[in-house]
Amino acid sequence: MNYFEALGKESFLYRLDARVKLVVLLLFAWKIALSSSFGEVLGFAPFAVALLFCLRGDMGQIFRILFAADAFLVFLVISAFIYGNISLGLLLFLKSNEILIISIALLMTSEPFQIFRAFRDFKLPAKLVQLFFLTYRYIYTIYEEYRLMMKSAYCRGFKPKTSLNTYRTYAYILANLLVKSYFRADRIYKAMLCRGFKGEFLVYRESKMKREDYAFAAVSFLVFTMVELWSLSGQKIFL
Amino acid sequence: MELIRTENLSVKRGGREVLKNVNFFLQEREKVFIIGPNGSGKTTFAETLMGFVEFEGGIFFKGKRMEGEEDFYSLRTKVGYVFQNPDDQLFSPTVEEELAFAPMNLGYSRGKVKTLVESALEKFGIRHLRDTPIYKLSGGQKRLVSIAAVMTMNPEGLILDEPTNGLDEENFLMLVDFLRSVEKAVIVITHDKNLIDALDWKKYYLKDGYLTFVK
Repeated sequence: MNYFEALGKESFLYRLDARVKLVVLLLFAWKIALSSSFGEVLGFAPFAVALLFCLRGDMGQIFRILFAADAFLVFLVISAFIYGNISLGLLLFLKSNEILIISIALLMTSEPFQIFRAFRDFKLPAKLVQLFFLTYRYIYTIYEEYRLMMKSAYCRGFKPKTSLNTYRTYAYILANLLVKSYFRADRIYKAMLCRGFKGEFLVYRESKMKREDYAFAAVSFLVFTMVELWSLSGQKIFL
Repeated sequence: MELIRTENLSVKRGGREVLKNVNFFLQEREKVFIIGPNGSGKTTFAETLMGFVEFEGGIFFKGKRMEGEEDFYSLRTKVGYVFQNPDDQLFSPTVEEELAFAPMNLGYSRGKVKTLVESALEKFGIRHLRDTPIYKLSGGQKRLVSIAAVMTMNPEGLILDEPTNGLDEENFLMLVDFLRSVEKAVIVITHDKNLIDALDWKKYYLKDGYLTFVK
């Protein structure tokens, strides 16, 4: 699985503006997270499932992500069951999965840089956005360096075991990564200064809202309002 | 006309004198090699010229003594520095953003930035890589992008630190062609005998902290 690439490049979700996707995600995640009614949470489920179908991505990959998260959530449900509140456990399980599915469909279909650009457009602190961006940019490089060092260790007979030598080897590799990252950060800063950097990351290709962005926002808000109105009018959906 | 000059330039690092009274002179459009064994201070010399290392003596750009960060800021926008390792230099998400970084910082208009970016993409044969994330580039492609990214500043001088590292034959020839034809002052720090043989330039030899003119 490549965590550095967006999912569902064939789907219309990939083409949507990251700002719209972020707003929709925050709106739904906020509402689902704060909801304490099964009916309301289930009311948002068709929207989450519809997004999942629109994704047209590798379902195996998506379910692997969900499974990894659910492996933890199952313990939550079991704990709730032990303490006699199974419905709370199930509600938490359902809410978490819905938020996760909507996040996968809306966040993971954006290139990371589009998300950072959206953060900047939402006036998040410039330093925070730069921090996110540079972390993303260099995490792959650091990972590659880690892999190289591990290869180098394997080429010289290293076999991970429960032994002092193994711990020491990993400690050396970690220490090396930290030192290398420190020096690299210093050199990158110099490289930025060499090209006129004055503290602000300027973006060349600005994003523009398209018709389908407005359409998606409108449909999402319509779904959100319908579920809310239904919930407020006291009617229960499904349950 | 003089572009860069150093007078009795000395640098100490970790208690060791890496550069000793270096007197160097580079004219506009002059092209030189700086060669020397590993650890002889070639990269330190380049970084000192760019104002990243504390030094004693003088550095002059077009006759003006460089004294503070403001002076060096101005120098860096006129002398492009291509780092030894492209991963230290390329930090933008895509090739296009990387090429646009410097001209955007220099406050050029969008139209001019576009012209400079397009021209660099064309000149270095990397148009097909425009939207490619940097981490996906090969070593040779990163090298070309790092040179192109500096060229979009339209500098008066270039300092290239081991520019042939990781280049295949085709890209090596492209680089040689570029270095031959570029109408700017160029300092190339290298070990590569093929590059030195391909370009009949002046050579300076740096060893034990002393810079000597070879040819």
